[in-house]
Amino acid sequence: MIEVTQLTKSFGPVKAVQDVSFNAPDGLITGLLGPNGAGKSTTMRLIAGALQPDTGQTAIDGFDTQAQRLEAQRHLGVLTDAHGLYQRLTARENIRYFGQLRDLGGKALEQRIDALIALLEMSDIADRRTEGFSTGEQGKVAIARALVHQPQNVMLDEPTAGLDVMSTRAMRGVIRQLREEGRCILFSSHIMQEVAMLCDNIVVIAGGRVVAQGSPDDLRQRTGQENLEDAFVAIIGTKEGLV
Amino acid sequence: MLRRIWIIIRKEILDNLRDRRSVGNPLLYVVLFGFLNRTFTEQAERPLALHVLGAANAPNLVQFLDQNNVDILEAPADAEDAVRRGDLAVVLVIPEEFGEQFTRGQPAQVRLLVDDSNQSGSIAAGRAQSLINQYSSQIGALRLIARGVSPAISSAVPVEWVSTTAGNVGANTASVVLNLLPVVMMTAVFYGGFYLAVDATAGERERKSLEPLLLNPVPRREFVIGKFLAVFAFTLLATFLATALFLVLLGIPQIQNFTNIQLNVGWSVILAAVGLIIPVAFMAVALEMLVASNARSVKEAQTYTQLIAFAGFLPSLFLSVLPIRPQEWMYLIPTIGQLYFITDMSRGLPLDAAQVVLCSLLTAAIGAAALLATMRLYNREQIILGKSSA
Repeated sequence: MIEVTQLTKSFGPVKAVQDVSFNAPDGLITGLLGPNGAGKSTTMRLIAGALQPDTGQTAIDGFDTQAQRLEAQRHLGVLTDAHGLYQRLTARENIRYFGQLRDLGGKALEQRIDALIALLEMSDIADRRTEGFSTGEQGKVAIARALVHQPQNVMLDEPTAGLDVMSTRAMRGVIRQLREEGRCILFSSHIMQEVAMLCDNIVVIAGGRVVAQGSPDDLRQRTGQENLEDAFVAIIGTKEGLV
Repeated sequence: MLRRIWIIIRKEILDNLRDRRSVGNPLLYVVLFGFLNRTFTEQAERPLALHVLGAANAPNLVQFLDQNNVDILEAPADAEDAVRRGDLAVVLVIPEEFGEQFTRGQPAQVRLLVDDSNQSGSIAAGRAQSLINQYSSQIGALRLIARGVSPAISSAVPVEWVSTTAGNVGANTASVVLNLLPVVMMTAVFYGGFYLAVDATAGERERKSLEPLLLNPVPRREFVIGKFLAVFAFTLLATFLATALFLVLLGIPQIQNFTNIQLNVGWSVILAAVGLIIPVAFMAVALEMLVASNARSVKEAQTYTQLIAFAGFLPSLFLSVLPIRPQEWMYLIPTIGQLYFITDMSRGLPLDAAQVVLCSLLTAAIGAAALLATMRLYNREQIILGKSSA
């Protein structure tokens, strides 16, 4: 469960996030939808504890990201927008390093890595150095790295950006499986179809503010639009930045 | 905590051992110094190639030079221009009237054309000059004997050069080489881990792996300690290698016979020198990491850390060459203090224990302050955003 309360963050004169509040409950997929530059990534970085908010709180399973950062991070797995792998290490070594940093080790860790490699269908690249990996291959390693400690809360920043059709399908499969396991999933996207297809709960962000939230049906009803795409346009006021 | 730090160290070392550049860098310096030493030591005893203009005017002098390890080459007619252009380093000019003056017992002057700005040129000219002086005093002595006068009468005030440096044969050259030892160590300390310090900090951010790394539930200081210790280990390794190579190269009997340099520095001196240099390595790595972590990009980090490395070893290079008499306070300045300690030790002078302790503590304190500042930086969001801390 991820809770965000009245979150505000500025970079100099730029108000990136303004008074953002929402909850992402367990067992559901919550989508952060908004045009490029709406504040999705900044919100996620605040939740993850990478940045410090000006005001407001974020909590993961009840642990405040600022006051109890390490405890909060123990319950969270994050796929950042840049995958940032170690190019001179193999895919397996990349995953193992993060597992070890989370106090996993020995046989249990190796079994977990093997399971992730099987789940993500990446056995062919598992023991290659990640230098020269395609975006899809990098994404697989990065998501395996984020899930190695089986976190109750999973946050994915644009997980399908730059992926081909097959990789996108695989990624969506993983997200659905995480929901079936009863985990809390928060993911951001600017691709409307994807959000509409996957999400149980949608938080629409524009200009650093939450402009609407609810289930896809809620949003359709509220705007009186049959089509979800039209609903979004009605909410945001512009089609710009959405795909 | 220790287990996690060890995991971080192991990853950084593995990661960088697979990078040819970071392994190549310290090795490059080691090899570079190997070459420097070789050319330095070989220069002295290699046959001296000397261009002579008018060799036919003084066959005896030329023969003497030839017997003393000089290769006589014929100089072009425009010898002076050739030296000015830099084509030739040194030319010995023997004028036509040489023979006539020589037989009459008058001073028969020869001229050495030298480009002083060319270092190997002045070394060669120095050797040529001392050989000709030797020839001159030999002939002078013979002339005095021929006139029934003892040659001793011509040397009114002889000077005996007594070297107190360990080792007597070739002591002069050996002491120059000893002066180089702390410079070799200082360079290795400042350059050995410099590439890695940049790669592990600014490099990690530029490759965008820093943010995911810092989202692990690990206190940030552990990342700093782990990365620091990895770079520190590399630096110490580079320092040991450079020192060992330097000594091995000069310790090989063949090279000693060949160069006439006897290196008589005891093991205790070398171990003490390595011990003295460890706090400097600690300071160097900590400062490099602090500066590299603050930089906005790898390029900027490289520029700044290079400045630190340069500023770190340059004083030792200068002071080892310049004949400055060390003042009391200079013994307390990090890097300069260590330079004098090592030089004094290899000369067999006793060290002032209080000075050694104080200087080492001061050096380590600067390192510790830099390390703490780096940890503080890692606890701020600027480290992820990559903006210089405002």
